[in-house]
Amino acid sequence: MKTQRNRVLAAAIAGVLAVAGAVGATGIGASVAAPVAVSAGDPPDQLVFKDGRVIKGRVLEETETHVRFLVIVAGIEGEQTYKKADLLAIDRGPEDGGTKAATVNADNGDGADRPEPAVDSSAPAVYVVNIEGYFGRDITPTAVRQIAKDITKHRPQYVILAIDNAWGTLGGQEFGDDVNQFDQLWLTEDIEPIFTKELPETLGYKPKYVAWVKNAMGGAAFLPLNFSTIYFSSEGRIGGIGRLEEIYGSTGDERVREKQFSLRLGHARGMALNGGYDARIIEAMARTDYVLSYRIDNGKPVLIEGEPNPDLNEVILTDDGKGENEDTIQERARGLGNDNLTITADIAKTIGVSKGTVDDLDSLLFELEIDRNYRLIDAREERIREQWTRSIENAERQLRDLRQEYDQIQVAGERRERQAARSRQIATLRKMISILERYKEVIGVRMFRMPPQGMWDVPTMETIIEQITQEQMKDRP
Amino acid sequence: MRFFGWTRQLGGTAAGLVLALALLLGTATNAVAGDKIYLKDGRVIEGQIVRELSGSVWIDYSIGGVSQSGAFFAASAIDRIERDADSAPAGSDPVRAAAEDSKKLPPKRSGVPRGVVITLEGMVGVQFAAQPLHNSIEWLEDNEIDIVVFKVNSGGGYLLEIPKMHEVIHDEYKPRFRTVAWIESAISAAAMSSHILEEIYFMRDGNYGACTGWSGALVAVEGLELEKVLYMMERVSAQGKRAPEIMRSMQIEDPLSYNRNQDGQITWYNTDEGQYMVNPAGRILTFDSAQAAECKFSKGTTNDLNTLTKMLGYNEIEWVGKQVSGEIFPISQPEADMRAWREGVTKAEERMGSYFQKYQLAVQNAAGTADLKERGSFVGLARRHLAVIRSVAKTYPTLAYVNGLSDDWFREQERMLRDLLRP
Repeated sequence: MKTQRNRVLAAAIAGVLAVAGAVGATGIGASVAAPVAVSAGDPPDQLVFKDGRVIKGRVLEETETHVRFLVIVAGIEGEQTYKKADLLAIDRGPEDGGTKAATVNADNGDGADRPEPAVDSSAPAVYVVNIEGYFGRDITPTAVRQIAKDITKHRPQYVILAIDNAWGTLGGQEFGDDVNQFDQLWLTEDIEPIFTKELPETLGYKPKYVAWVKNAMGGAAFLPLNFSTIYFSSEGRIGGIGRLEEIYGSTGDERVREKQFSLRLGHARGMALNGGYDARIIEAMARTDYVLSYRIDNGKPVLIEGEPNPDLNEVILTDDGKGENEDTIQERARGLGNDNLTITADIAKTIGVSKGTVDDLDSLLFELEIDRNYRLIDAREERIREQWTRSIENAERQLRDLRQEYDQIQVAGERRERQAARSRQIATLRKMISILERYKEVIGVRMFRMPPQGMWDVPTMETIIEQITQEQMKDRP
Repeated sequence: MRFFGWTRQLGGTAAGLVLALALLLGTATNAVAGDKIYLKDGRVIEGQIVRELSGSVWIDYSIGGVSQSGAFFAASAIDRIERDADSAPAGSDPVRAAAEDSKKLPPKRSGVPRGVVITLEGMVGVQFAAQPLHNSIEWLEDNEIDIVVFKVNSGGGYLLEIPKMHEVIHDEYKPRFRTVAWIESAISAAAMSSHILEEIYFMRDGNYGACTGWSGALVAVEGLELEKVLYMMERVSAQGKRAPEIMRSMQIEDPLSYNRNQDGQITWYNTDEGQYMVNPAGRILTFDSAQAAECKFSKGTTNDLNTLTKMLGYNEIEWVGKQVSGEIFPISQPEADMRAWREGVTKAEERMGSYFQKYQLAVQNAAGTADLKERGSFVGLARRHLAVIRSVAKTYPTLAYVNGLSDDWFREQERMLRDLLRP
């Protein structure tokens, strides 16, 4: 389709020329780039428009409504911003370490998005990521990955993960310490490599990670244990993964239930080993019958499996939770039980999990010995998190509306009207599928509010589309 | 949606069949492909659909012998699409070039062995399968590979694939290459598949074990079937040159302990008599990296390929493949092929129930109409869906087996469709 291709090329070049020639053009930053460096190799990304146009280049930034794109045509680059409403797809290519990054124009009038120059060692840059909200809804791999992109732009020496996740239902009811959300582990396994593997790979160096625990419950409990430096706030706690042996109730055979517990603990212990911690802490946090004690030898904590020996000044951390050892409901309600280990600030310091207790950022930076000379990055992570949460809320609303719209479509009247109604049904189903696929990581952990009349899953909706299509086939003159 | 639980419920009877869509992106186009796009303006475009997205399509076709590659037609312009019997709906991902490493490598440097890393991931019997490993043998031999590292990251899968994995590893790989496992996560069938390897290394957060067989609502494999599996793994332990007690404690709740003599030699017990307790009675064993190293189950722990090279006893190994950002090892042709296999079978799985339902709908519509011409259209549609099912069964034998897609079943469907065409 020569005409098609010519249109694509013409549009792309026009886009570049518009960037090169116009100041203050619609949708573009205040000043524009002169065409700059040539990229080596094929541009990695492409935008596919609803009219079939395809533009190649590199995605610079993506918001809820727009994409800022570096158009690359025949080696010439220029920045352009497009509305997502005009796009069919944003194809992101694989990261290729061999491709040279295009030089971004130096003056685009948007300082927050400009990559920071390298920082000299006398002023370490500090990026604070607030891990807040509901694990699995506000804290997801997608949101964290977007934050990681922002971190990449700023190239900090320190990344502080201030963990303070919501611990309760979406309706706002708070959980106690003894609620088990162990299976959020799988979500943590998706999130943790973004920090420990992807980000260092992209940066080309590993920043110093500091986990600052305010509330790390459920899936969030596993996250700080991947890092060798943990600080707690006074009220900080790590827990919410206890009573693992109750997650299946009495379903099935005990041997198979034990297998399920074992594989989960295997994964979780690995995370603790990653951070350099004694993996038995995980057992104590998770299994009610696991007995763990400690003593202090030459100022260093030593963990002991089993009952404490008072002659050696050993102290119980968790008992076996049986008989008179079982926590009372008063203890459980107040988070004072010891059937399962909830790591508080004091316990964390005693058993060597935390390096100290601090209640504000300045104090933390003091502990890190950079308080006199540091640069706090003006990060976009809060805006990213808010945008992500808002996008979920919008998607929930949209899905509700679409579901209602679908229910109201009547296939009736003349053949043409019936055809039109069926087309609308298919289009509505496809839009719902698109939402479910976009937010499947939230839906998978049941953190997405579905329409009140219920929702089909994607394969079922595709079957419904087929059903409608076949009805259309039958409905011929 | 729990596909595998649903799949097992449907079982292996004709009534309980599910279908899968084989979709290998980036494969060569079919010159005589017959996908048809019926446009609302009356035109019919015939070619091969290479990409689909929200109802819009890109199609390769020719006009007067002139090829038109990737022509775009918006959903709003399309009336309907008919697919060639042998083709499957294209995916929505962009079509990417095939891996560039298929050509033979230059000769090895003197004294430097060659190695590849191949990932074993996903469900055993589906993504994690013997077939793609077997397919890579020729390339590995042609390119003088000395060392094959299987990097394992899997939560388990089908029991029936385990003997196939043993066969391909023990009979085909081990005689030809130094073959080792590098464990990120090997749970259940994944651990049982890896257990035949004599050399096992762990990643720092690695885990290995929890091999209890089960089905349905956590129902354990018991009785004769259990004894058969226990015996199979005793033999595999011998082939992997390790004590049978270890795997036994991963399968059933036997305790596991060991003694270590002055020479560091370890004696294992499925009792608590050993000096070092690994797994108490009543529990199922899963090793972490520290435990595995402590009892010498693993030969070392590392997250880094350079360190693994040293642990294997070499100053240098030529790790073959393309460096890709974000990967800790180069991507070789066998690894690229393995990823393509996983991608294809995963897409097939994701659409499994949907395609079965589409086939059933077409059959029902055919059976429900008195108009012969209309019935013919629906039988044609059913045949196209059946062809997709057949293609999947041929490409993914394990998927076919677990879903009862036997030759007999296909014959029965063909007979039924022929009968539907009779006046």
